[in-house]
Order: sequence, then structure tokens, then C-alpha cells
Amino acid sequence: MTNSFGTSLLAFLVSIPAVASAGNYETEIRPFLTKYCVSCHGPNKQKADLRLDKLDPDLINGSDADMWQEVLDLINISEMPPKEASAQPKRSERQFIVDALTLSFRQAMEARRSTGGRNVIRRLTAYEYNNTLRDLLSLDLQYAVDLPPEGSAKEGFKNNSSVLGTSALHIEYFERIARSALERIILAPTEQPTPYFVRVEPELAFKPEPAPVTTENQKKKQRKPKRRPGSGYDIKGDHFVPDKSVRGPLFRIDHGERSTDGSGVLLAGNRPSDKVGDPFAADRKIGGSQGDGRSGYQPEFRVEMYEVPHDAPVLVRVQLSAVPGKDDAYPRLSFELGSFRGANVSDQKEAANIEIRSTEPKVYEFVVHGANFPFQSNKPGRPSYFRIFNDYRRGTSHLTYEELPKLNIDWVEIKCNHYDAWPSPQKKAIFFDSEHRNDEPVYAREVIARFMTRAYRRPVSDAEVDRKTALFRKLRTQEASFEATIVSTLTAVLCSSNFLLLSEPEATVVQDVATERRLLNDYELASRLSYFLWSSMPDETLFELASKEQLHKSNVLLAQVRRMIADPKSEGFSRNFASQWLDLAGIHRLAVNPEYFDFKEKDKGLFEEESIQFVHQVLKSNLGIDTFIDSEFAMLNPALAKHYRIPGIGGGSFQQHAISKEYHRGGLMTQASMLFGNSTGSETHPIKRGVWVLERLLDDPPAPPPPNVPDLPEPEGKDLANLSLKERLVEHAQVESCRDCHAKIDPWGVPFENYNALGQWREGSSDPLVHKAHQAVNIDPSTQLKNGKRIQNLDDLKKYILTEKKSQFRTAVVRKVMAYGLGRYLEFSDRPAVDAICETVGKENDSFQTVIEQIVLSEPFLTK
Amino acid sequence: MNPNFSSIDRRKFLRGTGVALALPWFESFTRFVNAAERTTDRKRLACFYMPDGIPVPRQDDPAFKDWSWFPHGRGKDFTFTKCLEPLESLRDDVTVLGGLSHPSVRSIHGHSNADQFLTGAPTGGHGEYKNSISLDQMFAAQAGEHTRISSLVLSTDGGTGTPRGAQTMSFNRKGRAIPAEHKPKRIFDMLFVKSDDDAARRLAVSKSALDDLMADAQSLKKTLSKHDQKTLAEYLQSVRDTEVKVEKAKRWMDIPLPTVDVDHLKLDVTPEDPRNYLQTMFELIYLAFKTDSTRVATYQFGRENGVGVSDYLARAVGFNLTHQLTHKTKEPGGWENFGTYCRFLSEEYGRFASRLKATPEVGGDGNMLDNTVLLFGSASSAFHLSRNYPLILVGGKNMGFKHGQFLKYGQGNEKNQADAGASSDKNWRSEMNYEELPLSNLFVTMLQKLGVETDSFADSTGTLAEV
Repeated sequence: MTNSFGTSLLAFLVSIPAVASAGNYETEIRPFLTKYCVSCHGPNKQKADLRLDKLDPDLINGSDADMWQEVLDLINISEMPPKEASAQPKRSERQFIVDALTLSFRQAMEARRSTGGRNVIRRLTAYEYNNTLRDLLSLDLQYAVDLPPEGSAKEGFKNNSSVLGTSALHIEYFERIARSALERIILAPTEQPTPYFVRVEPELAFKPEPAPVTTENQKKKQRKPKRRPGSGYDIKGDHFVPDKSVRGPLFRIDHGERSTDGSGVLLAGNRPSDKVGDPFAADRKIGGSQGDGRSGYQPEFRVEMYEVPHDAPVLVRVQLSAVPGKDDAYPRLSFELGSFRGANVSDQKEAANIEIRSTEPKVYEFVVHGANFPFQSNKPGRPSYFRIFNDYRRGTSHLTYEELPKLNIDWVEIKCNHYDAWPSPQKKAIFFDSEHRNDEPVYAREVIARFMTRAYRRPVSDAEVDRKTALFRKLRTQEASFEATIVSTLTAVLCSSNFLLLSEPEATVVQDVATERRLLNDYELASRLSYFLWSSMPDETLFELASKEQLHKSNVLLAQVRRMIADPKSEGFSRNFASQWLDLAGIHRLAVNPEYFDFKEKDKGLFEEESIQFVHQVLKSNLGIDTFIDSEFAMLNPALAKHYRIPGIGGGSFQQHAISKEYHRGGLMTQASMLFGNSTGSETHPIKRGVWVLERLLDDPPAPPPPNVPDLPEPEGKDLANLSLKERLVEHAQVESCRDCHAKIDPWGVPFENYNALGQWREGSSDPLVHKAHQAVNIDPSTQLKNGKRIQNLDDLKKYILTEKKSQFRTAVVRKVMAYGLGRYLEFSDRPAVDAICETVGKENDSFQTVIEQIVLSEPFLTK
Repeated sequence: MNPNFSSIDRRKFLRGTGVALALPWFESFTRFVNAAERTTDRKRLACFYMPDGIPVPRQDDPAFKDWSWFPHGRGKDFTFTKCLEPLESLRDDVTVLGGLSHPSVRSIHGHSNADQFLTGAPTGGHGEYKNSISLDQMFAAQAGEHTRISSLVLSTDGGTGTPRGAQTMSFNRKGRAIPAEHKPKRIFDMLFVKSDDDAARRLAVSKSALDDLMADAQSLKKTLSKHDQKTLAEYLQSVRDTEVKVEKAKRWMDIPLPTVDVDHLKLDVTPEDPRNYLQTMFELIYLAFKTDSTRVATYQFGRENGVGVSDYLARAVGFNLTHQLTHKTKEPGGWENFGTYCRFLSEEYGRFASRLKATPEVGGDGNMLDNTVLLFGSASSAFHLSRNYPLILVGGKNMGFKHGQFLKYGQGNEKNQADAGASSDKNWRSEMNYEELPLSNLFVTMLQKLGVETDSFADSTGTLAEV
């Protein structure tokens, strides 16, 4: 956008913020039309039945918007005026009119979708719904998996009211989900379910030394391959199984060593037989039907259980210690719950993954819910299982088997149907102690009112409680019991618009129009905060501060924001904000071309997780937002390190690793999520990457291409087909109508040429990580920005953003976080707030936490 | 929420062949609905949407003979190309149509047009968006009365998608998108698994609860601005629609759910295993029809523009991404590759139709296909061009559908050569110097044969006598 346009935009918005027309019509558009178009499309001639001088310039309320779009597109692709016309506009004139019309369309769109700069009522997103039920019921289940998939608004955010529709199907699901969760809690049997218990002493797997071989028969047997301790062995565990007729549990150890004192088993992350070789070579064996690269070649400690109570809490207790490896490497305890689904087919999910540093035996306890795992086999007769891995793997380091850290497991206990108390705490939270407990009508009202207050995230009026108690009374005659009636009544609470919709009543409504802004009350503020930072409902602390009317005070707010960021639930922010801001879904929209790469689809999850963990790290460690552009660390696990060819990274889950320059990693732009998500799946795509930088990092989205121009010219005939992508790009930019736009986009994508479609580093004239037929490439990351600035490579581009584009980048981050925090598009009226936040953030070393704090303290956040 | 398969009591399922499905429930069904209704009066409709268009090579292109989607010839005298060859065995039950399109979007890019395939609404290319009722819902308003579920709405991507990026084919009276189900397990449960032993009580409870939800929303409404009231209105409408469903469920309460053999179904399958996924979705529609759980179904194979998991469907025939095939027709073997994918769809579609044909109509004459009309098509033909929709009608002989023909409507594009061979989207709104008939004319014709008394649909101008 040229300067003159920046000014006219401002002037336009200030003068008529609510009405967009083909705005600058009189001064900019009409003169062009008069000069070049009206002779054929005017009073004298109406070619194609089109009369441009009579088109209504009001793009919002007028009826000619479609026609204007047509005009814009035809001018843009140089189809109009036709070549044979005598008066031909200069390139600059053409560009000018295109920019003017494009801008008008954007303004019209903004005006149309405007909410007047106010937050609007919206439904909880599927993920917010899930987290809210989790926190409301204190029961961590996958509630939202069956809800219809949800779209994203124009700028990528899913919590925008405009994309959160509701249908009968939603209501049905909401009803079913709420009812089944409440029944699980409230209608649980009176008697505590019998636990299923198994204790495993792994040393029992190792047989005593065999007796000397004496008979011929024994000698014959010995010649056959023998199962040796450590390569797989079954024993019966010490157990209590409710149904005695059912087969007992089995313990199986695969490639564990007996510990030196003989009291347990040592589990490493790699088998002794795995050779330390090229750390970047393919895994020796990809195990399991899913090829998850884990089962089948990693030492494993497994307990198989038949007809286990799978839909209930599971308590896992493990006594173990760490045997540290070389260079302070510590083992990682990872366990999974799963089941066998057929011969050699199993399904499982990880339940915990923690580093073990204590060299003294300690007991570790975990409680997980079986319903969240594929813990029940869908094939009768196949067992469920529990298994442990040591998730410190060799990765790209060169540790030998002896040097690897190991888990020394003394014993393991698994208890299914695990309840600390009965009735469950979840049930007791709903049916709390009260002096009216025996007076059903009074007690019902108390139960309903308390539940409603938390579900609606605010105090409820007597009238509201009356309505629900009336419902209770009505249902009481239809339902079998008091408890069943409560289930149905609370189900209605969880389907109410007061629960499903986030709404903030207007101060005054006169003839359907809200007349004034007002400050949020403390309960509304608590919800805004918690859905912003936790993607869930407020907790007790926030409710309490709200009830005391303390929350809105700046110092209290700030303290709460910090507390909330420190809480593990802030991962909700990092995960959802990062996914939507960075368009991580793009990874899954794209497939890797097998003609170019050997790639396991599953590894796409690594790309996504890296970016989420990176954003989370910046948040948790209170780093500056410049870290998003460049950092001296990366969030890696061994598998991703292998993908990036970074040596020396062992361990398990994602952790922060300092990265030296030679590996070319740092910031969001060198992450495979962005690099792959904006490739073609085979080759790089500088345009997509450039658009991503402009849209996501600089909040300066380029005008959409005229709809009839393909991304790149499709190869017509042999000549073009043989061109590389970058050469086609150049070819594309030769077309006059494309050149001007691409001069603004391509230079932002070309510096990424050192990263192939999977985001792996490459340089020179060959990419050895691609299949042979496609290795020859001419890699040239140098380019020139529209303003003439020369950029040699990505490092250069990063420097440029961090210096000359610093303020634009800061504003972009603030705007993105703010749009997410408010759940709406930002508008012109938000500008002063954004500017003020940016100023403060700039003074506070650009800290990411400051961005969040200042947004929370800003007027748009505090008012309705 | 229950992620397991446990909710189905496997012992209750009948094992054995399809004929074993003449079940006791059926007797009670007929008694209940209408003792007078003969099963031959049963009429069914299923519509399928294929995104991305079809191969339309130029006449002089070597690929024209084998890989042009439209058949060669005309009327009864036509030959299928390799794209549709799998339908040859069904030839006497099949009509291929060309020269039809929805007039309001003929100059809108094909990527935006899945939304209006069954509605004919002027959904436009940008700006304000308004849709209208879809063909299947018009029919469901009538046929849905006879069955437990008024219509099945399915797609590979699920949900509603976004305006002009629909992930569903079906739109209600108000033109609002009806979210599509995409998980086979959920569809199966909805059709065949009883959610509660105590259904009567639950429905009464639901009725009271829904009244209560309305009251909640009404009281909230008073405090809202006009803008917010719109959002709330959508919620209210959803609750009302749910009430209608509950009312209906009440009427069906005493009729036991049909039992079906599930052993051959892969209910956990995802589009990453495309052939099995597609087969499972077809099978679920087949089972729903066979058990008369519904008489109306839509299934959108994929959304437009290669966004979403449906783009993996081409992997069934060894390609990477579906949408890319449409862009690579000029590469060596490009037409053949694209055509091979179309052929794969024809195979699966033909398999489904053949299965209906091989199944006798329970308690009636002929086979199921004779009482079922299938519409299969796309809102674009050559390279995202929103004209000359590729369309196939199958079945419905008992309703009077005439088959074994290739019908080409309109004038001036007899050989489908307008914009043939296009390999970029440049042509999507090229000048249209030929004529086509509104697709809604076909819809009116279909509705009439399906027994819906109407003489118009969307922008229709008449009916098609040849169909």
C-alpha cells in the first residue's frame, strides 16, 4: 500500500466509519472510469449490457457490489480496457485504480462484519466446551470429540462469533454429552465397584539358572531357539480379579535386563542390539501396525489384563529409580494404556511421560481415566494392557547401550476401578452436605442453584432458579428417582443458552440498539480472562475475587494474569492461540508427496507440537516477542532433531535445547510447521510462505489474487513443465498484471529457499534429503524487497524484521493476541488501545507476558 | 463421548446374509405407520457430490477417447469412456446428463459452488451469503414422515464448513447449512443403536427440558442488542428444530430399532483409508435404506478446493491429493490420472447401485434400486467451470425414470468442447456463447416423480420430459 493510500484509508475511516462505498469514488475511481471505460460502457454504448457510470458506488447497501468486483478483476488482469482500445492506462494508473478498489472492498467487508467494536455473544467453541465440562465436573474426559468440526474466521481464529453456528445436531450432541457425563457421576452404583488389582515384581520374569542338561530329549529342546530372560517372558502377576472365571493378568518383559541386585528390571530406551550408527538413518524397524516407530523395537514392560474395568479411573503406582547415563542423561518414565485389536494390531495412548532423576527408589503415582484411552479391545477375548517404556532414546546422540540412562523398576501396581472415596468427590460436589438434605424440595433447589452458579459462571437470579426448580418438579413425576431427576435438570442447565453462550448483557437496550459502553462486572471479567488464558471457565479463586468485587482492580488483575499463566491450564492458551494464529491446521491439509520424500504421516504431529511448545515456552519463561522471529534455542525431541539433522539430541518429549547457528534454527519461521504447511508437499512455495509471513507475522495481508489467476501458471507444454518452481515464479511475475502484486509478496518467501518442503536445511545446487530424481535444485535465497532493500538469506530477513519492521511486527502480535482474547475482529475503534499497548510493550522489552497483561488492562477488554 | 464399541450388544446382532434382514421389527413397523401403505409406494432419494469437476479434454487430444468424462454418442446410442465404464453393467438403469447448470452461478468460480448444487441459490462469489432449501430436504419434508430419521446428511469432511466452502450438501427451509456427520461409528449408532432403554421417559423429559431452554433464551434476549439477538435466534431455531425431532422420535418410540449385521463394517475407518471409508459410507446408506430407517440421504465426497481430509480420496488409486489432479491434466498422463480417480468413484458408486439392484424390495415388487433414485454430480465440469455439470441419474424405474441414455441439453456446446482442455482456472467465467438449461428443471422433474406436488424449484423454467 502506498503512502497516499495509507492517508486516504485513515481519512475515509474517520469521516464515515460505518458506510463504505467505492469510497474515494469521486476523486479516484470516477476519473479513471470516465477516461478509459465509459466510452464503451456508458450512455452511448453499453457493451456487454454494462453501464459503468450508473453503477451504485455504495458497496455495502448498494446492489452493484458484484459488478464492481467484476470491474476490479477485469482491470486487474489487464483484460479491460481491451487491447484494441485506443486509450490505454499506464501501469501506474492501473495499479492505482486496483489498489483503490481493493481497499474499498476491504473497508466494505469490515463495515459489514462490524460489531461496532463491541464484543458480541458467542457460543463456546468445541475445545472450550470440552475444557469447561472438564473443570465444571472435575472429570477429565474427551467430551467434544463427536461435535461437528468447526471452521475458522477470516483471520484464522475459531472463537469468532461469525463462525460458531448452532444447529439441532449441536443441541442433540450437547444434550447427549451432558447427560452421559452427569449419569456417570450421579447414577454411579451405590456400592463402590470392586477394584481390579495387579502387582508385578519384574524379577520373577527371570528364571533361576536352568538345571544341567542330562537327557537326550532336553538336549534336543536346547537346540531350538530358546527364550532368554530379557527377550520376552510371561508370568502371572500377583493380582485380585473380581471375576475369578476370567483369565488372570500376564506380565511380559521385552529386552529388559535384570538389575544388578536382582530386585528389579532395568529398562533402557534402546535395545542392546541396536547399533550406534548413523543417527539420521532410518529406524532399524518400524513396529506396530501404525508404524509408530516405538513398539516392536523399544524395550517394553507390559501387563496384559483380560476383561478389565476399562471405563473407570486407573491408579498406577510404580517404584523405581534412575540409573543415569553418560553426560547427565536421565531416563524418562512413559506409560501407556491400550488394547489388542487383532493379531499384531494394537491401539494405545500415552498417559504420562516424566523425567526420573532420583537414584533412590521412589514411588510414583498416577491417576488417569480409562475412558480417555483405547483401553477396551473391540475384539472380544483380546486383552487390554498397560506398558512402560523408557522414553530416553538415543536419538541423534551417540550413546552406546551401556551409556544410556535406564529405569530401574522395582515393582508396579495397577488398580482399575480406583476410587479414593465413595461416593466419588465429583458426586459429592453436586450433592453437598446440607441441613436440608432430607427435605427433598428444599435440597433440590440448593443443589440446582449451586450447580447453575458455576455453570453460568455468575450469580443466578431467583427467577432463574425458580424456573429450573419448576422443571425439576415437573420431571420428578416422570423420573424414577430424585437423583435421576437431578440428572435431567442439570442436563437442561448444560444445554441452556446461559451455559453454552458467552454473553454480556447490554447496559441499556433502546429499540434493539445498545446505547452505551459499560464496564464489565467482575464475573464477566472472570470469564473473559479464563476463556482467554485457559480456554475454559474461571476457577474458584477467580469466582471468589469476583464475588468480592476485587477482580477489576488493576493490581489484582495483573496478579491473576500472572497466576493464570503459571497454571498448567495456560497450555490452553498456547495450544489454541498458536494453532489458530500460525494456521497449524495447514500441516494436516497438505500431504507429503511420496515421490519426493519418505515420510511418516504421523511425524506431522511433531511439526505441530514444536510450534505449540515454542509459543508456550515464550509465554512461560516470559521471553520477548522477538523470540518469535529469532531465538537461540529450539523446542525439540529426538524425532524432530533427527528430521532437522541436529545431532546430540536424546531424551523424550519436547524440551528446550540451545541450538548453534550452524543448524539454522530459531524462531517460528524456521519451524517445519510453517515451512511445510506453506509448501506444495513436494517443493517449496515462496508465494505461500511470503503470504504467511505477511499475514501472520506482520498483519499486512496482501490483496487476494484476482480469482481467475492461478497460484502459478500451470505448465503448458514441455517448456514450462521443465521449469523449477522458482523459475515458474519468475515466469509468472513476467505477466504484467501479476508483477506488481508479486513484487510485494515473493521477496518475503524467497529467503526460505534454504528450507525444503519439509523444512529441512539445504544449500548449493542439490538437496540430498529428497529422492534422487528431484535432488537437483538451484538454491538461491537472495532477493530484493519492494522498497529496494537487498536480502541475502533468512538471517537477513529476520534482522530486517527485528530492526526496520520491529514496530509493525509488535503491532501485529498485539492485534493477533487481542483478536483472540476478545473473540472478534479488531476494528478501527480499537486502534487507540492497540497503540497504547504497543507503546507499553515496547518499553517493557517486548515481553510476551506484557502483551497479554496490557491487553487485559485495555479498555476493549474491560468493557462491553 | 463413549469412545468404545461397547454400547452395541453384539449378541443382539443377526449374523448371516442380507435376506435374513426380513425381520420381525418390520411387521410392527408397517402396522404402525400405515397398514395401507404398500412398500412399493416407497420412494427414496440419494444425492452425491464430487468436488473438483471432471476431465474434459479437447477433441484432438489423444486422451479424449478414453478419458473424457462425458460419454461419446448421444441418446440411446452412446459409449461410456473409461471414466464411467464401471457403470456399463447398470447401463439400463443409468442416464448421463450434460448441458445443465444453475444459471445464477455460471460465472462464479467452481471452488465456491458446492453450496448451491442441490439448492440452485444465487450464493455468489463474495460478500453477503444466503442459501435456500436443498432438493433432498424438499423431499425429506414429505418422505421423512414415514421413517425414523427424516434424512441422512453425510460428508467426508463433516460439519457445515464455511459459506462457499460447504462441507454438507443439505440446507434447511431457511437456507441454513445442516451439519453433516462424517464418522461411520456415529452414523451407525444413530441408525441402529438404542441410546436408552427408557426412551419414552427420556423423550418426555426432553420435551420439558426444551421448553425450559426456550424460556431461558427468551429471557436472555431482552438484554441483547440486535446483533446479538441474531446469534441467539440461531440458538432458538436449533432448539425448535430439536423439538420437532423429539416429537417425531416419540411417534417412533414403540417400534424396535432394526438389527443389522455389523461384522463386515469397518466403523473406525477414516478418510486416510479412502477406499474403505467410501465403501463404509455407502454401506451405511444402503443399510439405512434397506431397514427403511430413512428414505433420503446426501453424501458429499469432498469439499471444493482441496481443503480438508477429503482431498486424500485419490490415494485410493495411488495419487497424492485429489484436487491437484485437476491442475495437472497437461502433464504427461494427466488426463488419465484424473480420469482414473473419476473411474474409482464410478466403481464405488456403481457397486452401491448394484447392491440396491440385487436386493429385492422387502414386501414389494422388483428391487430396491427401482424405488430409489440416485443423483451423482458436481457443480463444475472442465476446470472449475460452473457449467455443463457432470450428472448421472440411476434407478427409480418404478417412479417412471427412463434410462439407458445420454441426454445433452442446451445448444451450442453439443460436443462439450467449450472450454475443453483448459488447464488453468482462467476460463471459469469466460464468455458463455452457448445455452444450457437450469439444473432446477431436473430437480422439479425428480421431485414430481418422487411424489412431491410442485411445479417449480429455485429458478426452474419447466421439466425435462426425457428423464
